[in-house]
Amino acid sequence: MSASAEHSTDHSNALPVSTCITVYVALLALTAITVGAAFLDMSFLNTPVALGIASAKALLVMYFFMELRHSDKLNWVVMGSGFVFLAIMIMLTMSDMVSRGWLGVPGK
Amino acid sequence: MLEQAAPYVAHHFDDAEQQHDASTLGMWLFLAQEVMFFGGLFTTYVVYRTAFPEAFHAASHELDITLGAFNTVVLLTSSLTMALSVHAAQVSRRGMLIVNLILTLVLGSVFLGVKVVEYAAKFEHHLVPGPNFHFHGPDPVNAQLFFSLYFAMTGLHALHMIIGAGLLLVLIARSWQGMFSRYYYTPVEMVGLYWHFVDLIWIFLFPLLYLLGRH
Repeated sequence: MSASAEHSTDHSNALPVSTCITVYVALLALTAITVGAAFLDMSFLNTPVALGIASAKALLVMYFFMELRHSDKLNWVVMGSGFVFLAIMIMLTMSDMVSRGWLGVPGK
Repeated sequence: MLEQAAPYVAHHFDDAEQQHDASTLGMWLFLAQEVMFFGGLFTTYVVYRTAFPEAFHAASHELDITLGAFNTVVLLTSSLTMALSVHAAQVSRRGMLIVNLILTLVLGSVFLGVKVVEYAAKFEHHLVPGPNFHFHGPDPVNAQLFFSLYFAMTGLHALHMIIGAGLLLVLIARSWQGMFSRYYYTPVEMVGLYWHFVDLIWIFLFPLLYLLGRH
């Protein structure tokens, strides 16, 4: 049988060392930014900025280090679904918590 | 289909590629579950931080931001060495593979060591929830809630790091025996996915726990 260059055994799909290091430097830079931004008073924006930077770092790790770049889209969907369900859990829980006492009815 | 991968292809798969795809999907499904596993704690954090913002701000200030930032850098570096390990396996460079796996393990251990130092400091400063808890800032009752979440979330994360360390030991042993090459490197890749995920969790834990009350 001749060797076929299918994606899982074709090492040209390997993340180049230079890309690994570039992503790493970007992650370090984002960490420095998030620590610096924590000391600035941006009132209500502090949390969204911190979470935004964390999400950017997460996307870098997932796209490059976790090789979603070369993965089947099914893997994207699976990972995305985890975050979608987490978002549902947080949003529905918080809408319950925040709306307590609005109706003036016991238990609501 | 490559003959070199044949010894590692289980009987219920057609070929190495299908086995690799199945392993990858399986690991992603597990990681999606892990998102929900940690998600319960994250949701709890959101609920109680929204309810008691002042207590959480004041309590967060008690954490050592230098150690937290240092640990973040340590974990990001371990993700780099893990990615380099996977690369090394994919290009059949056994020496580079073993070195980077060992580096990943060492960095993970450094992270756990710093956590031990941090936890010890919490005990010293009476910040461990329980009968000896004593908080000097505002709203001590709800500040204790923050520390319960701190220990639960970082503790669960540390448990995952320890499991990852065990997996790395197995990989190092098998790499030493020459099991991995560009024809078969799936276990290295899968442990890599797990390790990067544990890093992801910390990427979110760090700002939520350490960077709250700094301004």
